Amino acid sequence: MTLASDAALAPAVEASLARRKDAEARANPLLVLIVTGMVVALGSLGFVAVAPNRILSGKAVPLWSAVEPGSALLVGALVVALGVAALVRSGPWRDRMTAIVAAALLIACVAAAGHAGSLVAADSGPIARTSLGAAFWIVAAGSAFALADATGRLAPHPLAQAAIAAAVVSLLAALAFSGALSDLSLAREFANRQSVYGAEVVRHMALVGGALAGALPIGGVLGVVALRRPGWRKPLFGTLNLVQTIPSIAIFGLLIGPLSALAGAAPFLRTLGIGGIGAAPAVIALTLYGLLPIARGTFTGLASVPEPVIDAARGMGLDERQILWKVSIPLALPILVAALRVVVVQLTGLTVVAALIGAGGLGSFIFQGLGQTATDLILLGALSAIVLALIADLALRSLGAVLTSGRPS
Amino acid sequence: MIVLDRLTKHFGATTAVDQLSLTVPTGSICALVGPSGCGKSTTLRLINRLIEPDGGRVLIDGTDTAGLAPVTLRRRIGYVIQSIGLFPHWSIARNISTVPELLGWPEARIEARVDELLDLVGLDPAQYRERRPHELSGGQQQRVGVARALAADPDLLLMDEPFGALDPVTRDGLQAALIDIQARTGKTVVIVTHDIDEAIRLASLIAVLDKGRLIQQGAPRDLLSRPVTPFVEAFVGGPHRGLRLLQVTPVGERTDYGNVTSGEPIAAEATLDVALERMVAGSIDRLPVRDRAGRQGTLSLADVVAREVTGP
Repeated sequence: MTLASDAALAPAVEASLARRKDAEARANPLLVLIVTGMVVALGSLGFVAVAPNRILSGKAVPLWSAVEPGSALLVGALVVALGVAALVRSGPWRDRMTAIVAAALLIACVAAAGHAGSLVAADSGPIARTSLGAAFWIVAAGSAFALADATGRLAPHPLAQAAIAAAVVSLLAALAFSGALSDLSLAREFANRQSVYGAEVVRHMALVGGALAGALPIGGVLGVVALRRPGWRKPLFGTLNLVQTIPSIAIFGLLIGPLSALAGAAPFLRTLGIGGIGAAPAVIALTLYGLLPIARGTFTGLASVPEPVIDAARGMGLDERQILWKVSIPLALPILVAALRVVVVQLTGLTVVAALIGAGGLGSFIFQGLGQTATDLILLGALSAIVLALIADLALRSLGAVLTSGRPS
Repeated sequence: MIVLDRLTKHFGATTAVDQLSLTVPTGSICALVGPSGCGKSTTLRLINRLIEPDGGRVLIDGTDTAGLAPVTLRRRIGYVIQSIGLFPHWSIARNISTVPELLGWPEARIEARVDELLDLVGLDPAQYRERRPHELSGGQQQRVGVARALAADPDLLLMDEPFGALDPVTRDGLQAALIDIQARTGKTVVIVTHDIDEAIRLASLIAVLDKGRLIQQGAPRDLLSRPVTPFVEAFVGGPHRGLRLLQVTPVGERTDYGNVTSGEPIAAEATLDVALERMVAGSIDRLPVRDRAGRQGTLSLADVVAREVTGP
């Protein structure tokens, strides 16, 4: 291409770049998509589902007939406001507006659902059930996503995000404690199981904690071994990968035989609570699942430490243990904490399945719900596990941010 | 005094260091030079046992280092590398105090030592003590690297291409700083470099290595004026050998003390390249000379280019 034609082309290229820049400045395509989805969902799908009792499946009721016009208008107005935020010029102003409107929409949406439940209860008596409908989930998830997206740009620091998340969650909790949501089917299921709920949450966390207590030291050592002996890397990670591919239910089931045989052969193990079913096989299986991400994270983290730093440390007379604890681990910390986050979130989810072999935890609500075809009981277990995982994730991200503050990014 | 006695190291089929014997007198700067892959870095790492030899010994002040625990040995030897290797998660002060902390020095002594060393390498302690390595320029980081190596006051300093990654101006400054620090502390320094000008400037003893063997060792001037093989001649001199000879020859040697010229005198201890520079800059062919004792004389252009007076 000649210089002359280059020069001729330049204005066209500039114009196209300017157009693209303009478009970027104008609309947030993701937010436009979210708002469009909300509008379609509110217009065509049920906001809540009303059933005559707990077992029967409900009838979808759209927002405008589920709540009083004032509430419906408020939710609608906030959706419109979010749409406006999607179309204004990009910048901190748009993000601030998006964050505030999205938070308000999330809370208004939850409050409206609670309001719908109260109306149904007042109308059809205490046996009737109000479940959350598709439109509710789409609006709630969409506003939560918009909020996370906007705060991610406004306040990228994990501690700031944790604070914002805590603020929104405490507003929702205040709403729940005020009784505004008590007529929702989900809240009724919770009320029915309030006596055991706390214990199951604790049990769930204990199972995850037990698995971590096994997987962290073993996986950590395997990661160090993989680093120091390159020849072992392939077989080691190959084996751990294989473990990861075995379906969790299969591992739980496969452990029943050997463990009950073990408990039969050594009865004192039974007094320790070890047997074919219960916590012991669950913790063992969860430990096995935790090994790969921890070993992989430890290996990747330690391998990321710059070679000259290790060379300098060794040359100055640090011994191998001092190099590991004073230099390698602190420098690998961001990757190690990230690996820990992955493991905790993954195990919190997997532990749900452990209820199947009598280990308890939040999965027991899900399996009871499946047995009784009570969708909201399933939802109670699932939502609790998700919230638990999100809290752990946010806490570990904050921890990581505190531990690595003042580092070059 | 460091004695390398028939040191040998193989890596697989290749011999990285081959029967290398070298004596480095206490208080001198010895440069190991040679093309890449000649074994100079390996030799350096054999001294502090980051690599264990396949044969031969290293004696430091008469003690065979093989009899010492490697960690103990290394804490007594300063170590500076090209990529600096400061600990990015520690402050400058903590980086410098690494070895004193390993040795269990009391805190007050460590703090005083950190400030003393920052002063020595030309960084203001108040300004730099609490900074992180990434907040410093490359040259400043290497100054900290040198301070860290000197922290526990080792008698021996090993430097592996310490200034190789720095720009020429920064490198000049650090070379001058090293000459000054060595003069003030009297450390024995073994420095690896592929830059012959750096070796000529810093070292009192240069060892030329090729393919793991020691080809020639001696003072910079000996190597330049009497290279034993064409390889050494090409490596140390090349097209600039005459100019480099000027850099290592003092003015006093070529001065006619029976003849006094007027003007601003040049010191007899200065080297001929400085004198030549003044002649060219001033378009003159005679310079007044004055030595430390106050003796006056004249250096003429003809004397500068005169044939080297070979010693006994």
